[in-house]
Amino acid sequence: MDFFASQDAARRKTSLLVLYFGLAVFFIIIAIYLALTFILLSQQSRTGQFDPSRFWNPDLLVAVVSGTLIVVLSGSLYKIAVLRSGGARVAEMLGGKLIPAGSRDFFEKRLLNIVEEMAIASGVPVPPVYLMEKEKGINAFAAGFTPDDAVIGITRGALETLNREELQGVVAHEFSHILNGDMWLDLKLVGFLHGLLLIALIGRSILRGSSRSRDSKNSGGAVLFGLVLLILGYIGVLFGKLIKSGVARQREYLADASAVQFTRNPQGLAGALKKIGGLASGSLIENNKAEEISHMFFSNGLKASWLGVFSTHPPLVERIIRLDPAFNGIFPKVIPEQVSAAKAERTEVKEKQPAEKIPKGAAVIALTLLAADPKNITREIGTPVREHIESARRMLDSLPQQVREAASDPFGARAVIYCLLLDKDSDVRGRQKEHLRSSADKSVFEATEKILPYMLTLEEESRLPLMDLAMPSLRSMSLEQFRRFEDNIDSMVRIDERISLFEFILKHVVVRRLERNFVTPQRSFTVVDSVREAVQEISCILSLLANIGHDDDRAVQAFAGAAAIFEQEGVKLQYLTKKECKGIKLEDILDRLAELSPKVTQALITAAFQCLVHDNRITMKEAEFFRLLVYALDTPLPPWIKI
Amino acid sequence: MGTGMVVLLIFLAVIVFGILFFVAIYNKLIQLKNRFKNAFAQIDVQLKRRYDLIPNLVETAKGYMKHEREVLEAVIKARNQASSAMEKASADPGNSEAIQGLVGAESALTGTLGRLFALVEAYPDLKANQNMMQLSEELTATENKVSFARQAFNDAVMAYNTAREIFPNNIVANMFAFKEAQLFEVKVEAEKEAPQVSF
Repeated sequence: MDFFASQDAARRKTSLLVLYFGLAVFFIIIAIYLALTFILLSQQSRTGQFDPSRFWNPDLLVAVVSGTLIVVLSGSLYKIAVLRSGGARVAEMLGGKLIPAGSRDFFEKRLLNIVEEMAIASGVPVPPVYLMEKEKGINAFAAGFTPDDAVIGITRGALETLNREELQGVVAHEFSHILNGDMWLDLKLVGFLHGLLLIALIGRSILRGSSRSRDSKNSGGAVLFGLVLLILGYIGVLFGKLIKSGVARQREYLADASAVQFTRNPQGLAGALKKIGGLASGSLIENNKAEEISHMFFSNGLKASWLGVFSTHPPLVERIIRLDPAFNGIFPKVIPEQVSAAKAERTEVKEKQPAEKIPKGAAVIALTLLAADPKNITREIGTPVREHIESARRMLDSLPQQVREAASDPFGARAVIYCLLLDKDSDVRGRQKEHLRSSADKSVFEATEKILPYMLTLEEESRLPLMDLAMPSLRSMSLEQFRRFEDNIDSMVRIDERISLFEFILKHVVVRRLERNFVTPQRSFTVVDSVREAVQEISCILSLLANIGHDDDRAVQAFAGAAAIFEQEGVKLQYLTKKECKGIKLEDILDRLAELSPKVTQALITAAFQCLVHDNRITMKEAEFFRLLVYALDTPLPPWIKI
Repeated sequence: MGTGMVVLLIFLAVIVFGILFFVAIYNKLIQLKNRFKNAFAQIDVQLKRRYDLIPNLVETAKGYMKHEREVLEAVIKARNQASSAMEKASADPGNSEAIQGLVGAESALTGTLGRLFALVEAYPDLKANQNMMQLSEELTATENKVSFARQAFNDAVMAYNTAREIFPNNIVANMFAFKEAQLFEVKVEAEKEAPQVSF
């Protein structure tokens, strides 16, 4: 299943969930109504007569329906709203602490390296990593709404008992949750369950309230009512949990399979699972909030339930056997990682795969899948493979130490971004530097000067990954610091009175992503499901792309080739000449395109790629523009690999 | 539908939304609190780096400054005090006494470091020492990072403190003991700028 298909499936599953959830609410309403009628009748029946027609009480029905809906909907919507504000909230809820990008702890550093490799290999921004310091079990989770605000959480136990390969397997498993759109599903699940739980909670507080009041005459009915709500609420939750674990178990197998696909190393993941089996604390999470998001963990975070049906994860042995059919069911004894041994392992890995020098400065980029059938491009999305991870590691290793270090602390990360913005033209660069000298901090300016010589040696294609790499550090800026940073970027970009493509990408992506730190994004609920609604935008973007990579006549042809993909569906696109492209407001178009449904997005990316490879060569500029498009569409495209 | 029912429904709705409103405030405060705690982690990393560099610096200086034992010992002592103060503060960045303690220890350390560097001026050989040059360069870089991280922390603390004071957040803040957090401000004038280590 490719990225778009699984995104689509995740959304479809959501509608199925809504249906289940609606049914649950329906039955709860009926049950509450019956129970209330019964309570009322039993109180009246002391007077003797019994009248079946009393079971029909429209007033009561309206009250029950609206009361239940208010409670359940507000509970669900509230929880979803809280979780929507980003994965960081979930991580913090579980007692996770952000691992600072510049951490010097060996285990933390190793984990950050693995996450960086994996993120760059799959083309998503490097997610912040949270450590659950107090948890001794081996576990991890991914949370967030989109790849953009995703975070990864991991326990101290996992950090110190797993070796590098096993840890990579776990991280790959979590990344596949991010890429498969599982977090989207998770969020809805948690929200729905919370709505049902709220009924039970209200029942409980009624029970408590009335047991305190001594007025036993009136409280009889209230106690009964509270009890009914409590029981029904919990029954609802019970069914919710059944749905939740049913869905979650399937997703776990899928994530395991994708993780193996990414790393092409089933032993790593299997090793991690075996260690969970062999460890006394297993994968237990002690934080009491763990229940709520139990299905988001790498392995079962709760004490073994007496009924397998409630387990959110498939049995450990079964998962291992799928990865390693030779497994005999006996878990090995677990010894914690020794720092010295772990360090040796890392160097050994390095020796085995000597960092190949990537050929320098080639403007023509070959792709893993060549232009033979551009339609295949979308199959690459969301599915990094071993080669991507290795090439990401090579790229990271090839970065000068000073640059790598600067990118990993919030202070130096700004300098890295400023350096990326410095113009090739020495006159413009001089003016940009002058601007930095006067309006940036003196110390930042010095740091920029210091790393500049190293930045100049960078390969062109390391520039965008470097931006991704600096992201987690940049996120720790305060709002005030961010505003200043934004102003400086803006003035640096504008200093030569023209905005180059790279400048635009950097500014657009950095600012958009950081802004989400401070304001919860106003994600519009409108989904553009048909190409027809975005003909103009799609025409613009494809014309731009055609004009960037080709001269006039060939541009028309390239555009026509791309437009053909939409014509199959009976939509005619309008070609814009180079001149007409000049006046386009790219920001608005990209924002609009971000609303496309997965299906349309897939078509657009296929078309754009078709346009890209029209003349069988891809220039750096084209490649970067294509990446901008992919960024704007929130689509994780693995980096190009040169052959 | 009877008026009794309508009243009951409205009552229910008001209670539910009231609860949600309070929970929202509570969550907002927690979020802001976590934000400044995370900001402290950045200071923590850089200060640790600073405390690691100082013994090396003193070790290098020892070979040249035979007669300044006192100052060197004072630097090490101040460094150790600051280091333990930081451990306390990093255990709970929301504890204003711990932060206050760290501010005091940091100011003292910066003061003694300043004295050390003033003395170094009198030892041209030491000034020209490769190791010494590298260490002080790195120390300056670390100072810059500390002051940047401190600024981020103070902004986050300020946002939290403001949020917990305004109505109706202050009701929730008092109910759940959201204490006022302490800014990390360096009192000594000399520390406003990174210590002068240019030589």
